[in-house]
Formats: sequence, structure tokens, C-alpha cells
Amino acid sequence: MSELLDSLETEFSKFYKDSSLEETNLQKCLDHTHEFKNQLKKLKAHLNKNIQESKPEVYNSLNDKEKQKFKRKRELIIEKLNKSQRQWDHSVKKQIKHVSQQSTRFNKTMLNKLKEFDIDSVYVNKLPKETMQNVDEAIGYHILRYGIDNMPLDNKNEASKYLKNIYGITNKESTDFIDMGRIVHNLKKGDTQSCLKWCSNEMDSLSSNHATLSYLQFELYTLSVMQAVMRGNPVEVYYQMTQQTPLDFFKHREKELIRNVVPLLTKSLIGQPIEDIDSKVSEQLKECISLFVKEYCAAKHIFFDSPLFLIVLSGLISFQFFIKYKAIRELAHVDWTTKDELPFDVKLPDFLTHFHPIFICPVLKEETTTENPPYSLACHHIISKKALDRLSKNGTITFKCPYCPVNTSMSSTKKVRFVML
Amino acid sequence: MAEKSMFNEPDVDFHLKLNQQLFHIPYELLSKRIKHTQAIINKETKLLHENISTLNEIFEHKDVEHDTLALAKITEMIRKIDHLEKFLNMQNKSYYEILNRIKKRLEFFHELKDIKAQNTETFDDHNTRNKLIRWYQSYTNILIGDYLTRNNPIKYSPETNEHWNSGVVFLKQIQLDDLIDYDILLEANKISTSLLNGRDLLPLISWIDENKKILTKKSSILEFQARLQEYIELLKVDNYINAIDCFQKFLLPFIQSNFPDLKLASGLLIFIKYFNKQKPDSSSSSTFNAEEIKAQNLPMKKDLVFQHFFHKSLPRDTSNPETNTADYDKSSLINLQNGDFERYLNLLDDERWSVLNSLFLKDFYSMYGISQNDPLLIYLSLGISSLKTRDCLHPSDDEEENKGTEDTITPENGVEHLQIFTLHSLKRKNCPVCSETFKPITQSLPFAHHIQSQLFENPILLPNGNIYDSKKLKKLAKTLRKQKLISLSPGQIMDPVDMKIFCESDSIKMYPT
Repeated sequence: MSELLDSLETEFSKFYKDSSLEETNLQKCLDHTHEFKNQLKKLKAHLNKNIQESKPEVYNSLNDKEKQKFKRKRELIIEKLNKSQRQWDHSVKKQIKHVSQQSTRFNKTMLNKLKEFDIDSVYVNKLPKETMQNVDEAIGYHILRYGIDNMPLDNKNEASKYLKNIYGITNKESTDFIDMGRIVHNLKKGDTQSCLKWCSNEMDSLSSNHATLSYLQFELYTLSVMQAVMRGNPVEVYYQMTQQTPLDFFKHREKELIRNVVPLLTKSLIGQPIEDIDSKVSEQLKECISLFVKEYCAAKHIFFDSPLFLIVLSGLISFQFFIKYKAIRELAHVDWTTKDELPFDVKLPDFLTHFHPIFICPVLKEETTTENPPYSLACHHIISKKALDRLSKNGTITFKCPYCPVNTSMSSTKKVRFVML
Repeated sequence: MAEKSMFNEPDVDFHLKLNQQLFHIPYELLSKRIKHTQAIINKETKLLHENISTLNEIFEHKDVEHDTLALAKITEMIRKIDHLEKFLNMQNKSYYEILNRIKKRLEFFHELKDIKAQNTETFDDHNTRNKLIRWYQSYTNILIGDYLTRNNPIKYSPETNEHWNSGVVFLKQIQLDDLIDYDILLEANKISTSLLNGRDLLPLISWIDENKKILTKKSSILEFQARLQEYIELLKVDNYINAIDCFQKFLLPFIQSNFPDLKLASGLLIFIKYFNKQKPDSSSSSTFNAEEIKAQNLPMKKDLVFQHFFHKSLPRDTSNPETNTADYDKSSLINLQNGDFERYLNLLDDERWSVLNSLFLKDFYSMYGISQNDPLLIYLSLGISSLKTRDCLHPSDDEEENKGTEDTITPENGVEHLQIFTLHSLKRKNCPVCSETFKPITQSLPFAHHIQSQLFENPILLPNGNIYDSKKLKKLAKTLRKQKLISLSPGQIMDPVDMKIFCESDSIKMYPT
């Protein structure tokens, strides 16, 4: 729902002169004042002229009609002076009142609607004070992981000094990321060499994932070819394809080749312009960077998604549940009962929860733990230890599985553990 | 229109409510500015009105002399108006700047609205997902910027002759500085730091003076406590004249509301002065104790203070005066066994500075509708608890990493590589809650509550009791073979936890419910 956002935007636009949101409503006060000042200046000039004309040598030479006109002029100046002051006084006051009312209305009608809850109220389980250093460490990691691109990286030593100085990140933490950032910088400059070199070094390591690495290499060569095509020199493209690219990289990738590269080559060869080649190249560059970062993190065994980010995202998603629970709790006058487990279920997306298996014992409807681990029965159904003890009367009898007709004796049970791959 | 929620994330309006301070702070700034502008306009229009009246009177004379006078008067008016115009121009500029903050924030949330709407329209999940992730990364960055601005010190760089704070540097670097009112947070940070580290009350007192009206309206005790501290600090350095002056000027007005505190404060003066005289070396140095302690940078702890002022160690049990009446020291004004004595020590304790700081932050934050706790920490607390499973933080995990390799497999290209490779094929290696950094934080927080099992497809049980996704286990075996990390015969699989090798046929299909 975004009704609140819509009305907030509408109400906010009233702070401006018009919908272009360029001039504020306070601008009018300024305009009126400026106008008044000009008016005064004009009147001053008139009055000055009037004074000059009232000098005896001038004044006496005038005839009666002109004298009359002269007097009338003076009165007019005074009249106008009074009038413009009145007008300015009125309009400037009116306008500032209007500004003030608008701000009050904005607060009353909109901001008060935003104050539905207090985020402090759900901070029940406080982070231990002595772990604040860990928070700083997590922040450091997050900044390195996502922000390294924005840092000055030309000189490696300078870069690590900078990171230490500004963010308190130690050299040990930053080294890997500075290397990564420098390769990304090169890629952005259109230089794929450092990245390719990194790939081939990684390929030599046994514990690296060769399949994904070779895919990255393929994408990098594709990027180089596309960049050559963009520069519009068929000879260079040909050179790029034949001399620079090891052909076996294209071997098992006919599909991608036909889809991504061949159309470009053909057009380049017959000298036809290629539509938005720029954006295609930049898409490819983005793809390469994202693949590289992924591979780099995997190779260095560092988190691809910063843990801090994943936790914050989970926190944001669970906020709704915490707020709801708090409201219910207040209505029912019950306290935040459980200390070691949240009193409600938070539904998180798969990519945040797929790290650990969760098994709920179908008999006790409780999550299995180290103290109460899962056991398999003769029929390959699984229940928790507590349930097993209960059903088998502490191992003394053979019992029927709660899910199928098969009987299980204690000897045919086995402690099991789920592991996520 | 129902909004599709990809991650089960809240709707846009909930986001707005969650971040109401992003709008509340600029509103407060706006409101202050408008009030100020209005006051100036009222004053100036009144003056101009008077000017015009005088002018009219001058014109009554209808002679050149007076008209010339009027001319001068008009020139003066023009000067005034010009002044006002400049003032309004300045006001309008900062008014525009503040409005711009609101504008940028509305745009930020509008972006979320667009991403969500796009998802409903196009069903291009991959694209939307990436955009959503990016948006939430920005969101996280804002929280980080907020945290750093609140908590990291404001440093001075002599090269650029500027003060800087890593939070602000960060926000500017990622171009999100319009999304946080870091100026406000820095103000709090500055005052707070001067209290805690500099033992300096001046910034706090000047802030209190600026916001007296609001504080009085909220019947805040901050001013009294700050002035009391000022008084105590003066006593600590034997500045009795200024202390009494401070008492009369700033504490006495609170006689109605804080009479007991005032009594205590006056008592403290007598006690300190009395014991100062009793001090053996008091003749040699008139400003003793606190100065000394400060100079040596010693903590002003209760027992230390006691030592200094009373030359006796802190009485152990002061709660029960009857038991020790025999020890009554007649030469002293104070009954050391009297529990009331503790009160003065509490006043002298350094702990009062951090109490004062919390009082200040509470008033400051609530004035702008800012949360008392750092939002980042709130999100972390909620996030950790909703992620923490019973399988997290298993102490056995680390042991498993190093066991059972020699006799179970034939190392072909180095066991180490195999170990690393297999270990990192386990999903739990990527769990944020289990990460080294978060482990200590996670420890004391509650687990998530689950009502449904979250397992995997095709579970098979290996003879060692581990249950895996059969397809993934086979895929792992294939990769291991391909990269020549281990020689596995066809139909063989390896358990990545203990690295034992089994035949596929030894595994049993399981039926967890």
C-alpha cells in the first residue's frame, strides 16, 4: 500500500509555488519585498525630482496650472508611498501566515499519521554492550564489500591507510577488498586484463570452482569483443577474436556465442550501426563485474552478501511481526514471555533462511535441538528424541510409527542430522 | 491494488512509518525557521508602518526642507527593506534546502513503490529482485550512516582545517547524504562527546538556552541537572564564590520543584569546605583533590573521591547505622556510619556525567522524534532473532572441520583443497548469524520461532546419520571428480561434513514430515 506516500507527496507539493517544485511558497514573501523595495526606489526618485523642481528658481517660473500639477504630483507620491506600504504589509503578512499554516497542516494531517508506533518499543532483546566492537567490524565489512568502488584505490598503501583512517578498518580486513576494487576499477576503465589474469591464477587452484570461473572468462572475452565493436573498427574486432581470445573458450558455448556475439560481429563486418551498443556494453560490463565479485568472494571465502545486510533485511521484514505482536500483547496485557525464543513466527524469503535446516517434530510440534535431536524410525519417518522416548516408554517397548503402520523398536532407530548443501 | 511483496517485506506505507523521523526532523527545522521568519516579518512590518507614519507627519509640513528630510527617511527605509530582502533570501534558501531533504526522501520511497509496482506489472522477477536488493542495500547504508554519525567521534583534520565524521564521509561517498539529517545527529554527538570526554558543560548549557521553551514545556529536568553539575564541578575545584553564585542564579529558581536536591547541594558545600580545612596539607595547596585527579587523569570513582575528601576509606556497610553506633567519631561532623553520607558521594561520582548525557540524549532525540536507540541496532536485534536457528552456532562445527580425513579418503591432490572445497559447499558456512563477526552478538539473543519444517528435496540418510539432498550430494561428487580433488568411483558419494565415502546404494530415502 502506498496511499500514505501518495497523500504525503500531494501535501508536500503545497510547499511550493507550483507542481514543478522549483520555487517555494516562501519565495512570494521575497518577491513582494523586492517589489516594494523597487517601488520605494522609484518613489524616492520621484520625490527627489519633485524637490529639485520645488527650488524657487524652478518653482517660481511655473504657471498656476503647472504649480497645481506639481502639488498634485507630490500628493500622488505620498499617496503611493502609503499605498504600497499597505499593500506590502498586507501581502507579506498574508503570505507568511500561509506558509506557516501549510507547515502546520503538513504536520497535523500527514506526519501525525506516520507516528503509529515507536521503533524503540520493539527493541526488547538488546545487543550486549561489549559486542559493539563486533558491530563496527560488521559495518567495516559491509563498507568494504559494497563501497570499495567509491574509494580512492590508485595506490594500494594509500588506500589501506585511507580505510584505516576514516573507517578504522584494519589492513588485514581491507587487503582482499582493495585488490578486488582495483580489478573492478580496471574493468570500468575498459581494461579486462587484470581480471583475466586473476581468473587464470585462480584456475590453477584446485579448490576453486572451475566451471564458474571459465564462464567468467568467456564473459570477459565477450566484453572485450563488444568494446572493440563499439569502437567501430572491424580489423580490431577481427584481431580481438583471432589473436587475443583463446578459441577453446568459445568451444562449448555456441548458444551464448550465437545469441550475444554473432549478431554484433555480423553488423560490425558489414559496417551497419548497432542500436544502443553503448548500453549493451555497459550491461555486459555490469554482468562481468557482478560475476567477478561473486567469484572473487567465493575464492577468498568471504561473504558475497554482507552478513550485516542480510540481518538488516531480515530485521526490516520482521519489523511488521514485532509491531503486530506488541500491539496484541498490549491489548491482552500479556508480557513478552519467552526469553530464548521469539513468541511468533516470522516468514522470511528463502535466500535468507536456506542456511540451516529446520525440523519440527511432527509428534511434539517442537523444533528439534541438540538436546532433543531428530531420530529416524524403521519406516524412515523422523521424530524427535523426546517423542521417541515417550512413544517407546523410554525404550522399553516396540511402538507403531505415528505416520504409518510400521512398528519400530529402539534398536532400529538412529540419531540423524540434517545438513544443507 | 494489492501490492506484491517479493521478500514478504512490508508495504511502502509501513516503510514510511518506520522512518517517520526522516520527515519529522526536517519538519521541526522548517517549523523553527518559519517561526523565526514570521517573527522578523512582524517586527519589520511594524517598524515600516511606524516609518510611514513619521514620514506622513514630515510631509504635513509641505516644505522643501521637510521633503528633503523625508527623502533621507525613504533612503533609510529602502536600506531596511534591502536588509529584510537579504534576510528573506537567506531564509528561503535554507527553507528550500530543508524542503529538498523531504523531497529526496519522498523520491527514495517512491522508488520502492515503483519497483514494487513494476513487479506486479511485468513479473520480471529477476530484474525486480535485483532492484529490490539494491534498494535495501541503500536502506542498510542509510542505517549505517546514521549509526556512524551518532557514535563515531568528530575528528579534526589539520590539513584541511575541517572537522569530519566517518558517518558523514560515508553518506557523501555513496551520495545518500540527503537522506539523513546528519547535522542534527552531529550536534547531539558533539554535545554528548564534550560531556563524556571533555567534562565540558558549555555546549550543553548553550543548547539548553536555545531550547528553553520546549524543555520547560516538557518539564524536563535537564537544565536543573546540568546546573547542579556545574555547581558540583565548581566545588570540586574549590571555586566557592562561583559555586555560590551558580547556586543562587541557576539552582534557586528550582526551589519549588527540587527542594531536596537543593538541600543536598547546600550540604555538599559545607561538607567539602569542612573537610578541606581538616586536610593536613590544605595549607600547602588550596586547590587540591579534583584538580589533581583531573591532572593525573584518574577516574573520579566513589571510593577515590571519598579518600580525597574525607581521608578515610569508604565505609563498607552504610545501610544499618544502629549496629555500629559505638564507633561514632565525635571529632567529625559526620557520622561515617550514617547512610545519608552516601548521598554526597553520589553527587561527586563521575557516573553523573553519563547520567547527564543520557538525560540530554533523551530530550534531544525526543525533540526531533528520533528513536532513543540506534536504529541499526534495533534492526540487528530483530534480524538476528528472526534468523537464528537451533542449528546455528554449533560448537561441533569447528571440530568437524579438522577431523577424520586420513583413513577415510585417499588424498590425491592435497587434502587441504578438498577440505576447503567441501566445507564451503555447506550452506551453513554462509549463515550471517553464524559468521565470526556476529557470533558473539548472536549468542545471547533469542531463537526464531518456527511452526513448519524447512528442509530440502529428496532427503537421503547416509550410514553416518547425516541427511542430505540426494541430487546435490551427487552433484558435489561429480564436481569433486571433475576437478580431480578426489578419486571417486561411479556410484560413490562423499559426505562433505566428515569426508567419508559411501556408495549411493548405502543411502536410504527418508520421509521427514
